[in-house]
Amino acid sequence: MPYVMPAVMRNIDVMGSTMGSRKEFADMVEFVTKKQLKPVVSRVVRGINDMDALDSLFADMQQGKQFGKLVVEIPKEGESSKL
Amino acid sequence: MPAGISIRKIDGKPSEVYYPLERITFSSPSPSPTQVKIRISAAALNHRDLFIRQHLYPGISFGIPLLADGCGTVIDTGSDSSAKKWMGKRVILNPGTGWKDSPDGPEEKGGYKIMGGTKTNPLGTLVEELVIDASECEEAPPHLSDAEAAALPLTGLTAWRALSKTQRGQPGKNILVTGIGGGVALMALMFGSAAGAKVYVSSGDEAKLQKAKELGAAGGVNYKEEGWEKKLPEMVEGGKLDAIIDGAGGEIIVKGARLLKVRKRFFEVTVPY
Repeated sequence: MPYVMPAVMRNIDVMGSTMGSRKEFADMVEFVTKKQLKPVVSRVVRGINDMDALDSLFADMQQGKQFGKLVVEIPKEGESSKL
Repeated sequence: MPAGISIRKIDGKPSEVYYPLERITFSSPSPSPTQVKIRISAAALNHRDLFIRQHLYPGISFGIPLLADGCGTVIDTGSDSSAKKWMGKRVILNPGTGWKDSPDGPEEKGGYKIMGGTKTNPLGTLVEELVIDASECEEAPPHLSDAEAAALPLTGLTAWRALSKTQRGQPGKNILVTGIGGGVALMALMFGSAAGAKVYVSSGDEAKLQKAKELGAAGGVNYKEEGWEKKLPEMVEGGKLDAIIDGAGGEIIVKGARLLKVRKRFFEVTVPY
């Protein structure tokens, strides 16, 4: 933990926050619907048959290339997935 | 039998190893009275999923499907009315269990249990079908595509709580969100702006700063530039920030302290454990 004295000397709160409650989840989704907000999707891979394609999403994340979320679309059985 | 993706065990030390992905099949049970069965249409990655593959995360499990974010359609339900009302609906899933509504943190003794790749939660969303308690469902916002809806839960939830805790998501406030490009940062930008605050962003990539401005960021600084912390106050009305939402830690705590108004908030949004 880096030296926090500059924060302390200014009466600044340093807080941790991780995830959220079921109630916060509901509130968040309601806000997104009400304000018509759209999460940014960086790239989509379609299908769960091609491990290399799925690996490429993880590679984007590891290299910090993404701007937004990396998503896998999972087609219904019988639909062809692009290989 | 429905298919999903988990990690496969190979030899190697934490941070050196990179577990390969493996397609698995599993039997999908009938939903119990309060459960629903969901045909997943999209699932999204989070940083924890990468850390799991690198064995840089506690409690990892081989054979449990990966990922915590999912969107899908309810194709079967249990007999309880709380489950039946979801039949045919498009839903997104609460990414973890154990935390009902306490402002302080998870009520359950074992703590918060996130879906995907770990022993603490038997579910993961990178699957064709998933059976889950109906109470973990929310209606997928109708204006979102399946991919956009799947992109929402974990980062949306994390950014929502972090911003709420600052109590600075309001008109007239100046917030800095670092590392724009990551999912939580982008949701914090979106929520902060929608709440009327001016949200400034940082990145090491000029293209990401430009995209962030197109999404409504009031300004951006490149943290790879020497002296970025002197450029930022010139952009901000009044010269000082009201809150910083940061997911990485490090020097931001020292530099950030000088950018914040005295008696204002500063946050560390941590990797969920």
